[in-house]
Amino acid sequence: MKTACCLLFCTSLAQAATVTLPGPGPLPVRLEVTGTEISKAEQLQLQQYLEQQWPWLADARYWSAAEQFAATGTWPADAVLLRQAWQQCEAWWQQQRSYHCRFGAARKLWGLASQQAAASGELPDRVKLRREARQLLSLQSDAVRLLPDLQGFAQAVLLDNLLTQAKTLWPDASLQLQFGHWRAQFADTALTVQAFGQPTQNPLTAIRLQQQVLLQANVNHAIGPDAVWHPLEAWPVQYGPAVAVTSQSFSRAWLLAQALTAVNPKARTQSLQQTDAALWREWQQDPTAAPQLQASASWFDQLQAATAYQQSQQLQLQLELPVQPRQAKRPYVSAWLSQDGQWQAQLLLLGEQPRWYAELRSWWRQANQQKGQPFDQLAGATRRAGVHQFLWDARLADGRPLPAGDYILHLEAAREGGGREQLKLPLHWPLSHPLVLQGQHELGQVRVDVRPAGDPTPTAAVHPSG
Amino acid sequence: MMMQPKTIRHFLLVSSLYLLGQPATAQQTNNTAPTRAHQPTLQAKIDFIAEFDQNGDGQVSHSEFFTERQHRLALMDLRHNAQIDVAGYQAEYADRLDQRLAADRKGQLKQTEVRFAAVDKDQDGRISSAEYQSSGQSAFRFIDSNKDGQISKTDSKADPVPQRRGQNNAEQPRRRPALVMPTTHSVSGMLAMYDTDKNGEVSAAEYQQIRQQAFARTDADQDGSLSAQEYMQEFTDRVDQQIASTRSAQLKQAQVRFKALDKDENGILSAAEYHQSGQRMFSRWDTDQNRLVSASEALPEAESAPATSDKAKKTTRTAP
Repeated sequence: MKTACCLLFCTSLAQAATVTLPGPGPLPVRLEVTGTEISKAEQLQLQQYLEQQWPWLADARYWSAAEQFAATGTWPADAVLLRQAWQQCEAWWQQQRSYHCRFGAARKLWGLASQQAAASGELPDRVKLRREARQLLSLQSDAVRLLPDLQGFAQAVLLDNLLTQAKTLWPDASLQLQFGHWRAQFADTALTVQAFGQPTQNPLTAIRLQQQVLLQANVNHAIGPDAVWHPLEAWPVQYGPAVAVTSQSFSRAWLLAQALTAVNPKARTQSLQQTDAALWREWQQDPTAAPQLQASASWFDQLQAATAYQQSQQLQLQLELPVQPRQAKRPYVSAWLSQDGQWQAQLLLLGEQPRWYAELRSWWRQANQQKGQPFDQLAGATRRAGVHQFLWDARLADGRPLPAGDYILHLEAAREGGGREQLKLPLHWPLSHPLVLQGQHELGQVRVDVRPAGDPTPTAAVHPSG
Repeated sequence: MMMQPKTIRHFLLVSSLYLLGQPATAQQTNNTAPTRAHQPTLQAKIDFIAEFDQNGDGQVSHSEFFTERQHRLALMDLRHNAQIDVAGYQAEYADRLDQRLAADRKGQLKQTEVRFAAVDKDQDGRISSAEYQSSGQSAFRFIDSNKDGQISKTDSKADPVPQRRGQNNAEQPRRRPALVMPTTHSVSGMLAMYDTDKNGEVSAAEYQQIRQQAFARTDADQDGSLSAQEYMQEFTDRVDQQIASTRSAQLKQAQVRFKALDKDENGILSAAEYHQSGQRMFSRWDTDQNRLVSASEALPEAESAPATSDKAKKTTRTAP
């Protein structure tokens, strides 16, 4: 009887207890546990675990352990965390090939060089570092000794371990972790956080976390020991974007965040799975200007303002490029929507050299008014003759879904040594039925369709004719 | 000793270099006429000679050229299997580009010390707001040759200012640097730096305002004067940004060149394809057909320039 009453009483109050755990420096790790009682012993267990593990990430102890590994191939017996982090990082490199932890030697060198650089302005020899990087990357992980670079990654692994322990201790509780700008929320309710730690006007940065972690990379665009490293060159990413990533675990989110900072802008969304989402904030010279943000598809579902950003349809454009004489060059093609003579959204751009964009005259006249549109970032390679399919996510440049209304779909193609052709098609959004249009010489049949959002991009898109 | 230009033709040729010689910046301005690269100007030939001249005699012989091309081909073969893909091609180009950029960067930073000393008139180790303004005003007045209070294209001067003691305009131009920072020594430099509203002119007021903003931004500790460190820091940031954007644009260009070289589009560059294009490049410069390219040789015919006509044909030169 008494127990039953206590249970009722306890659960109805749903106490949230905040456990403050030690961090590597003055910043603590805060763990909020809701829905269960925490005993002093359990709290002490977590505290001691962190107190033992943080020193492994400090320079003195880390480099001696790493050098022992480089020399002998085995970690010191008590460096459990580092061994675990190394194995995970190598597994990621073998599978994903998007990031690794092998540039320890370069990071050490850079640490020294940046101290010297303050004095003399010299940087390390980039060519030499690149050649060494190439050698390091071609090694098998068990073949030769590598000097690992784990101080950043091991922190993510440590916090994952901490969360695992907390979940084991308190299986039914809701957990919320905060360490600087890194957050984790494993609860039934969602937590509202800002992607880059500071509140901004832009609704793309306010998200609701639930059963996920959030962390960022390259937020300060620092060049120094904290920089994000380009995985193929032993050089920090300079003037790259800041990235915020949500994922299932800190280790996965950390590796993704580093990889997504360095990756080619056109390939940004390729390595993300359903459970991952990312937001990029481009580097800007003027910190007071409005930030340029780009979000991956699943990021929109997490927004606090998710309803305003919902898009249930994508637009599929099937384009035929007619066969041209043998020596002919491939056309530059632009497809865009306009309303009242104003450019609204870019569906497609084929052709990678910006200096030829002026040849697509009608497009350039309209699009040129848009300051700051990174057309060369969304431009794809020119295509050969045949039928090609493209998907457009029906979102404007700032992420908002295309508002309903009447638009004109323009297609313009221009070919070197050939002609120019422009097609126009009135289009009402949402699209109720497919549209077909036929061009004469530079464009063939054009078909516009809707598909549900979330349909994957067609892979076998090229049907070369002839 | 200043050499007087001997003929009008020589004078026009020399002056046209400085007008045509667009700095190879990566920023795409809203040009209506696309910039014409690979035109056979004397500057382009000097660049070619500087790139391939191994023995320092100011000329490129066919054997020198071929040896260097072979050497590069070997470097591109990253996996040592005689198959060159775009990654190897880009990597070899990136190595050469980074070496030049590192050397240019060092040179630019060294010059900064000289510039600092020139602006710091009272030599107290700090640039005060007054010194900064006066240096800005004298630069403006110098470039504004028609004295209308504005810098615009009409202020173009046919004879540019001598940059350093010992370099004079009528002498052989030197190789263009990989890293080009806009300077206040020319109209185009002034426009690149100060024409923020892109109307093709820089008024005195616009100029002052931007200079003030730059001063405030550079003065990190907000004490009203610039120390050598602050000045160097600001310039280093600008240099590094310019390097980053130049690099990415040039590497992208390398990718485009690879695609142009790879005629059979199999993603692999064969030695034959590479040497064929090299041979075309060499014979284009070697107008007197003696297997030797020298600076005094006649320049090849310029291509017909379609940029002026409306029915434009785009022409692309494929230079490896």
